[in-house]
Amino acid sequence: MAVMRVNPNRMELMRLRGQLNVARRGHKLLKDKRDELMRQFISLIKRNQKLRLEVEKLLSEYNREMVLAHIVMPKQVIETALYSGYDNLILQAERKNLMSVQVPEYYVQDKTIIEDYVDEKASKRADIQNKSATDIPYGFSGVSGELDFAILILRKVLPIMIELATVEKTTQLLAGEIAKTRRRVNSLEHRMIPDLEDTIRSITMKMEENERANTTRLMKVKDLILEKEIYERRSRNEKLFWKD
Amino acid sequence: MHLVKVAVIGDIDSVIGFRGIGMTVVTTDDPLEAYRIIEELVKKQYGVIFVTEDLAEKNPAIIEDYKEKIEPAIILIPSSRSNEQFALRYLQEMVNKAIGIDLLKEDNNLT
Repeated sequence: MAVMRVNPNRMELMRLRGQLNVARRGHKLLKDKRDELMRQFISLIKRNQKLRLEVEKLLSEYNREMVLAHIVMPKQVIETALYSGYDNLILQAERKNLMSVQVPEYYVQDKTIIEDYVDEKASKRADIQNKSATDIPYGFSGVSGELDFAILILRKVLPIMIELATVEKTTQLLAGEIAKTRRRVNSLEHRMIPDLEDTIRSITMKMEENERANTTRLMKVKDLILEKEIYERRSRNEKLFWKD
Repeated sequence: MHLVKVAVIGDIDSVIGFRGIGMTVVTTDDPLEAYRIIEELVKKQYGVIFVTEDLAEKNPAIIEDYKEKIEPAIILIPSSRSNEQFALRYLQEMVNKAIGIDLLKEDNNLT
């Protein structure tokens, strides 16, 4: 119950009525938007959870393999082996519009070669491509097979991780949008619309009150005038009567 | 459409292998340093950054600050040190905040 501080006149009433109309329409639209966002969010969340569990399972497998690799090889060998590769993984990122929320979408590119390498000689580029075809980025001498298993597991998990990145980012963005929309819906529903209704009611009531006050005043004035008239006529009649 | 690079941040044992599939690996044990690294990586066109969950748990700003932005996507991965499942819990919390009920928990109970 909060009445805004406005002048109770017809102009304000019309303005507030228009505002109430807009608020009601906006509220309905936003509610629909919220419902649809939630529907999409729920399906996304389920997929997100499934992907995450899968990634965590595979990564724990990878961790196990890494532990084995650490048993058979010194740490330095593993690190040197892995650092000999290139960090050339590049993803294609696209923007998608989901319920007017901009969400990214990532794909693994076929040729995952950094632009620096593209500038170099074509033959060298072919070399790198062949290398990536063998799946293992380091030489086999001096490196034990346990590490290969770990890397192969990572290769398997990579597409899932990329999908997880897409889905999880989308869920994060959607969650933000849902929270925003919900706040808007609630503030319209519980604050703006009741306030406007109360104000409109109070203005109408005040105006009716004024109307009534005006009517009674007019009646009163009319009575006064009539009374005066009656007195005048009566005194005139009496004068005429006594004359005769 | 544009191209983005992928990075992994975490303690060396958990993330070193990602180097083997072509991701950029940055090793750190310090949650605050991890945040600085992310800031730097974002400037260098990194669009997807995987962070181990123990770092994110100790420094929530890592996720929170980039949650509303389209890029980069900060994604948590389990680390070899802890199996706290912070990422799943975080997901649950996010669902809870967004729609008011814990959908995932129900699912867990059913299965």
